[in-house]
Amino acid sequence: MGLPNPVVNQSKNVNIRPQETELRYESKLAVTWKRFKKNKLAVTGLIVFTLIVLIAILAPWISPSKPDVYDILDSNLKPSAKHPFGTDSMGGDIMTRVFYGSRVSLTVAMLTMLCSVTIGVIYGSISGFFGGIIDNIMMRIVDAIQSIPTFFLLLIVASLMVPTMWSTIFVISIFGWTGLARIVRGEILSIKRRDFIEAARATGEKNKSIIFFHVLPNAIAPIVVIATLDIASVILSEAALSFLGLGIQPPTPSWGNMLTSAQDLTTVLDYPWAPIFPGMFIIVTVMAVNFIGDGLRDALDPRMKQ
Amino acid sequence: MVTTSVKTDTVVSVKDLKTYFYTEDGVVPVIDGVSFDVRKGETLAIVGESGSGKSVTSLSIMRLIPTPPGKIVNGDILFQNESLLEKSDKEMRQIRGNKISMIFQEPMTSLNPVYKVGDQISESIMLHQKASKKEATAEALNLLNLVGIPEPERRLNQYPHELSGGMRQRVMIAMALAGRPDLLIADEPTTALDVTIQNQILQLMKDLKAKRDMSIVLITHDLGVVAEMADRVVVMYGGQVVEQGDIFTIFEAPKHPYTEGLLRSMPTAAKKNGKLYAIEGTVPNPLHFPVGCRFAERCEYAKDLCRQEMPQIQNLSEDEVVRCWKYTDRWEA
Repeated sequence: MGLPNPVVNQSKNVNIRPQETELRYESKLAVTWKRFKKNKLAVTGLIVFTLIVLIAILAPWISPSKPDVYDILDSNLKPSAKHPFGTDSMGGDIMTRVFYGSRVSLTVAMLTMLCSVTIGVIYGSISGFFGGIIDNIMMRIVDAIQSIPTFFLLLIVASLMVPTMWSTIFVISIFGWTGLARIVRGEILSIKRRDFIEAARATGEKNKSIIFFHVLPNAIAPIVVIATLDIASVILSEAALSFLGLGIQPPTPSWGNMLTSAQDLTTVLDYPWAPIFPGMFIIVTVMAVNFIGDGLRDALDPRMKQ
Repeated sequence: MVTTSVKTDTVVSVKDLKTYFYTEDGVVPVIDGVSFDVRKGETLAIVGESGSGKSVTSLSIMRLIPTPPGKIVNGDILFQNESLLEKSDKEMRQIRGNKISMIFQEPMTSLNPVYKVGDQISESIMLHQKASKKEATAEALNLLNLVGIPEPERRLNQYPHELSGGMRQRVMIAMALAGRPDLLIADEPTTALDVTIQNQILQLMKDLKAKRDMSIVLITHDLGVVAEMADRVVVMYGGQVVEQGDIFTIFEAPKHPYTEGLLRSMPTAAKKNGKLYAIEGTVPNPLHFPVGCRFAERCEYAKDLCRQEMPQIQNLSEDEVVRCWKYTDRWEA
């Protein structure tokens, strides 16, 4: 590989043994980080994403106002020193609401992604690894779930519950895992037939450790990519649910419901800052996360040439 | 049924093993009544064409036959006088990689591509021994030294794709040795390597056998490898043992016409001009084995008797076993 490695350089002086015989042993994490760092776009994505997370955490201290303070006399103001992102039709400070909204949107996105990835990976692994009748039954269940027009089911489930952040997370994740489950299953079906799996069996490893130690790490690249794309789609699902009044309820701000309240033509044409700022945060976050996903995929796969 | 007498120094004793595969087209008797012993400290070569059942024999010993469709339907496999077929899955896992290890044909694909060589070796050490990560890594380094890998400290930190084929096979051998096995099964360990590397790997296996006092079952179709390595030879054809004997008998005075044919089809320096001999015909389809001798169709000595009745396996001497009508009273009759 192209990694400059001090030990490699020493080896050129064939007869000189490295003076340090102490084991220089790099952890998997260190290697991944080293490779990740080389991808400039991914590093930029990570920095931007970290900034957004910091904004979310520090929202109460860095916001110019409070999210539940409205001043109807100050409605639809242009961006100014007092209101850097302007104000919305109710007179709420957009910057404050975007900052607080990032708390909600990011929490929903991350938790939902975690839930659906966990379910999807476990379900897909079991299905793919054991194969046969188990696989058949499990995949028919996925087929059934996928053949339901999910969004309408989301609406039904959401309407049965009091809409809160937690119900939104629950509703999106119970239907969000099927795509990942399918992909994980496919990966595992192909990985489990590879020679090193049989070699692992021949060393006496258990099914459990074969799945977690040998099979899944080989499927990490598609899982990471799907998981990052998931964050993006969850942000959008949350927006859609909020729009229909079944997601996050105003006055609690989320990027989704801010966009929704700014979607009529008059607002878009006359007060464009109202949709632009939350929209920009969505786009920037989604892109940053996608770049991170790309970088991770390359960094996690040792076969990728740098 | 005649088998070689079980001696006290027998490591593995395979007795009348039958492994069948149940496919949509019917039952395939891939292994059909195979018996042999592996003695302590010896190298036993199992020789045969593709499809003769040699790899399935080794997988049966490891109990790694994919079930379904495969199943061991008859016979027994004794390892250090205990039946492997009666072991639970858990007990079997204790044996695999610990007392019986296996190395595979394809070093290029038999290592997990996402882990560093050091991690993979120490994983297999920690699987069977109580060792901390640090101790296991140190032991991995010892093993890499043992299998003759240059700059082992550096190799520990490399991924399989950074190593050559020969180097990877050495790593596979190192992993197989991690549990200090009594028996090493090598399934065509050098087939995928080029000739010079082949020789190094064989030499290494020889040295290790002596150092670690283990027995080796070497599965191969290459008689050159057999000549180099084996103490005794089992020749398989169509899922059966057709001949078994020590290396000198097999090479100097083969009894079975198939063994004879195999030896004649070996390229030698003496036969510079002229065509290489080939046994006519192909291995019969295991779905429709003939009633009689399975080799009869390709055998130049075959009589009606051979096609009508299956010859039984018989001992010619204490160490020599053959399955052929030629060595019975009924041949001349």
